Amino acid sequence: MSLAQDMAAVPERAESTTAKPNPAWTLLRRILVQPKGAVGLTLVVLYLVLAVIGPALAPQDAFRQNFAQTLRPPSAAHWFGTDQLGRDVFSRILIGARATLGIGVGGVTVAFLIGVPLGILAAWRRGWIEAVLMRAIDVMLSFPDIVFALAVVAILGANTQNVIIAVGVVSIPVFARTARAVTLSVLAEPYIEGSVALGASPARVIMRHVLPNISGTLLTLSTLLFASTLLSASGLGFLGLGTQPPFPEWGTMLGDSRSYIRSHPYLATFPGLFLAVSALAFNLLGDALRTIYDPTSRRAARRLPMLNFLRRRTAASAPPAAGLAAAPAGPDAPVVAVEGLHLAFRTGEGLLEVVRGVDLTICAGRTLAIVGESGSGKSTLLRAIGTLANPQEVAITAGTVAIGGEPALGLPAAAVRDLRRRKIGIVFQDAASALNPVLTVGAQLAEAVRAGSRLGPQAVRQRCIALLRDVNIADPERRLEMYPHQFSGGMKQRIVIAIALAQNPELLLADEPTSALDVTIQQQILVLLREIQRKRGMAILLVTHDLNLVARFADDVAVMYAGRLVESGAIATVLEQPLHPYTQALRASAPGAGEGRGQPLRSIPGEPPLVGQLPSGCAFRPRCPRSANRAECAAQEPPERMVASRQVACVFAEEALS
Amino acid sequence: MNAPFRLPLTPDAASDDVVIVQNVSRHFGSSRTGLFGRRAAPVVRAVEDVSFRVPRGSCFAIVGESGSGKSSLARLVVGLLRPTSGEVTIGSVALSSLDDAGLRGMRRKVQLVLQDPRASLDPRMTVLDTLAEALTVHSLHRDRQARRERIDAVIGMVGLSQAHLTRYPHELSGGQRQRVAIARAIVCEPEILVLDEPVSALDVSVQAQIINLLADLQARLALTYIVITHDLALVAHMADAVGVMYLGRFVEQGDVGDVCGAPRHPYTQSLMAIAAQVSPLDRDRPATVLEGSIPSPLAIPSGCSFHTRCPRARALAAAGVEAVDTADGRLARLCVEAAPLPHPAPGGRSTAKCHFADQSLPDQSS
Ligand SMILES: Nc1ncnc2c1ncn2[C@@H]1O[C@H](COP(=O)(O)OP(=O)(O)OP(=O)(O)O)[C@@H](O)[C@H]1O
Ligand SMILES: Nc1ncnc2c1ncn2[C@@H]1O[C@H](COP(=O)(O)OP(=O)(O)OP(=O)(O)O)[C@@H](O)[C@H]1O
Ligand code: SF4
Ligand code: SF4
Ligand SMILES: [Mg+2]
Ligand SMILES: [Mg+2]
Repeated sequence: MSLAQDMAAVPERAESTTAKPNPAWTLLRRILVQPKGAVGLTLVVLYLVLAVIGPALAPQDAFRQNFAQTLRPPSAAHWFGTDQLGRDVFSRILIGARATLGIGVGGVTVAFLIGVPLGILAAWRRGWIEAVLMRAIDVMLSFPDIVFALAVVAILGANTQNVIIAVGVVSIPVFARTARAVTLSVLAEPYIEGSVALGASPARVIMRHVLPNISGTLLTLSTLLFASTLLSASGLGFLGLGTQPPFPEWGTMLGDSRSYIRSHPYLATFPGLFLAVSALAFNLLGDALRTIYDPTSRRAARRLPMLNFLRRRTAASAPPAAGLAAAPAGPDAPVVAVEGLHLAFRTGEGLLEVVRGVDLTICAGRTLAIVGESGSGKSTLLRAIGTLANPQEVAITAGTVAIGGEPALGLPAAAVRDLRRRKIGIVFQDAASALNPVLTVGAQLAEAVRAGSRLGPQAVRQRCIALLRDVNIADPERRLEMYPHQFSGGMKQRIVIAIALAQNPELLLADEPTSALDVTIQQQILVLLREIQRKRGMAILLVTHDLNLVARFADDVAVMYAGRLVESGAIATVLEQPLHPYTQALRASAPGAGEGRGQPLRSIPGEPPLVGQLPSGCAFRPRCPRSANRAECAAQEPPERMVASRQVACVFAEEALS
Repeated sequence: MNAPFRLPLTPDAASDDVVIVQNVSRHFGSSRTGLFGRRAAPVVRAVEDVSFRVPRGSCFAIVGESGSGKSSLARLVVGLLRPTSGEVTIGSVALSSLDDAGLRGMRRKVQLVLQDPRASLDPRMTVLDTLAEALTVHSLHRDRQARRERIDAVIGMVGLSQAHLTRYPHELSGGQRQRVAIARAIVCEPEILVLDEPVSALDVSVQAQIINLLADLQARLALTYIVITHDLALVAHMADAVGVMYLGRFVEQGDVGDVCGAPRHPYTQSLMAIAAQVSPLDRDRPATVLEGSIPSPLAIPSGCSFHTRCPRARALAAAGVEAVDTADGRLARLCVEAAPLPHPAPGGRSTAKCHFADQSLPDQSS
């Protein structure tokens, strides 16, 4: 599985609309490619088959009592032995499959259908409805399960249908509670507000946004409750209120065997085994379905990176690459050194290369700004430098990253955590989604402060308050107790900055850290960062679109286009006399850069590049005013070279000098 | 201070104002309903007594300090939040007269682009589903083919390609997500667009493309915009009028040329001063912009809420105006004790809430 082959598989990502395969087959295929899905589905199907044709398969009459042959161990005549009434256990298990499935699935369904809507209702309406419901549930949970089941059966009468209702009722509180908790956290997400703002009705918001987002948790819970439902049913059976005696059912069989557990353990073994395996089967299948319907885990699941895993292992133990060994370690070592880094996303269609050979270094106390086209790979690069590239999602196909002179790629998990904690602070691009909506800001700050230090709770609190004050959040004492949604966008961004600074990092990776801040506060944050740089020599990698900010704050700038750095050097050099046509176009597009009020702003004509479908030669060629179809531009990717004291990747860079 | 105040913006065309915000306030957390009844909690005065009007086809910009209540004001305008007091009128319908269903109907005409584009997209929906939902909700383009055409057209307008339609939000870059959020807002052809930091995650070239798109839509369809942004160059480029917010209030508002060109409120002046600054920040000399830190919206200062940081109040006290000593130094008495009313500028095209708005001080910036 070479890289070249993977890349060959990339091209057409879009139009899959032409010949749509049958969705059922697609689903089946996607279940079966996952080992857990294949095992789970096979077991569930076997189980269903058993439920349908089990009675026909039974070798013996499962109801015939034979007092001459009670409690026999397994033998050729009775594969699983006989029970206390001399009946054949194997036949009873086969016949019992149907009732067991009915009670387990039926009970969970009843509980799901009642409990989940109640839980969602409580979370959606809040107020007295929630108070009443939650109180009722607390009361229900304070009784042993069996009491409720008994009450229901006692009222409705004992038959299989009522047993299903009874065991279902028992599980309602668990469903309602879980559904309420997960709904609350989903409702705190801004996309709910987004769809409300769109004009969606409550029913639609719940069906389209809340349910899909809580279904994973509920699915797992259902499979867990499947087994416990059967056990409550067997409890009822034990009291003579379950499925009525001669009809076998696994839970009841297990219950019956309790009295013989010491003398005849095999009597419990087989029903117990079948019960456990069936619960496991549903659990595995549920998990596989969840993986499929959860888009965030889907792509990763499709190509289980077994091979890559092994490869990574060997890479880690291999001696460091030559380039890296040459990098000077010691006080003068750059805080970050990146060489020839290539990063690719693993997608359903193969590897999608978004960072295509990046070299950069940042020394202590310096700031490197990365600017560039939206979607050019800046955030992906920043995450990889911060050792946060998820190996399931992003493949590091080539290159090295060294932090503080030590290689940072391919380290064991513990070493990576340690590195991150000691040396790196990260501010992600979307501040709001970097904070957990259900934890107070104080709790999240405290976690960052505590990591790896032994401060007492009072000291932690003091440090949190000091951090919030540093980033200019008024009234920090009271603010600590508030939740993220109670802060403004810019405040959240500042809190994320505070969290990044909590461990006094040597390297700050900041992705659009001030995009939500007005100029006065932006200035204050920049002044704070300058202070820290001056005192502790922190290195900063700053990703931003604000050229004004770059001019005021950075020392060096690198311009990124389609996954490569097309121009990099000191800010005075690059911004004052840009040589690459893309850099020049950026300078010309900024509002206030010459176009009058009401006049259209100058944007770069042509389609932005689409990763995976880049043109041959220079990636900027289709939009480049300088190229004018010259053959040199199409011949090859222009190499980076030194022109007028900066690195630039354009064959005709010198033309801008004259 | 609570006297209804009308902006003397376009007095003759008053009937064509599609958005009218009158003395709107919104407070958070005045009481919390817990299991054990109501519990008093500190009040956040996020928006306080804000009024403005937006004529059809024009663009109103809101700028201001982070946390000053801009996003809350945007939510009030589209009816996502109900005001504690005051009234928002959209196209001659008062929002307080609408129930939830009425509000939903109105939302086709008024779309909001939320501040955080990543978080405002459902992680389990592809871009295509997200855009189709907007059309489904308002029963537009019911025909499959027409729907797909509309979506393809809009996705192209915001500079994305069809390949992005099958992606989930986490598979897009920050700027691509922001453009999806904008596409979702314009796909159902609203009349009023409220945009909260619409271009903050976009590189300047794409930013220019989006701004040109907005201008184009405005010219063709007479769209009305309310834009929240920190980019003052952008305000100067696209807005007709602007409101400058500080601690929940508009401290200065009016014609964009006046407010940005000749600011009269000290807060606006400091904003403009920093925005104009292009020289690199001096690493070895810590520089401060405005003295002191932002007061908490939980405890808004008395009198003029800007007095804790106001360079003018300080300068006036030093220059001999009647003064008092406060924790923040010696300040003009009027500033600490009385809330300023809006003072119209000479041309009458903007107002500033400052007792000394007309006092021309020799040296403001120092
Ligand atoms: N999980 C993913 N799967 C496939 N492609 C992805 C994934 N995540 C990101 N991409 C694509 O990779 C490219 C680079 O994304 P990245 O987030 O690094 O861009 P960026 O330079 O930070 O852009 P922006 O300035 O808009 O934030 C984009 O074109 C994006 O669509
Ligand atoms: N749901 C809420 N509960 C309590 N306080 C809130 C809530 N929403 C907002 N606030 C508070 O209201 C104030 C104004 O917030 P808002 O989001 O409107 O500010 P903003 O002007 O948009 O700031 P930014 O530019 O940083 O986004 C802030 O102090 C914030 O903490
Ligand atoms: S190499 Fe050619 S296409 Fe590329 S930037 Fe230079 S002139 Fe333009
Ligand atoms: S009223 Fe006083 S404190 Fe307020 S802005 Fe004017 S001078 Fe400053
Ligand atoms: Mg990004
Ligand atoms: Mg905001």
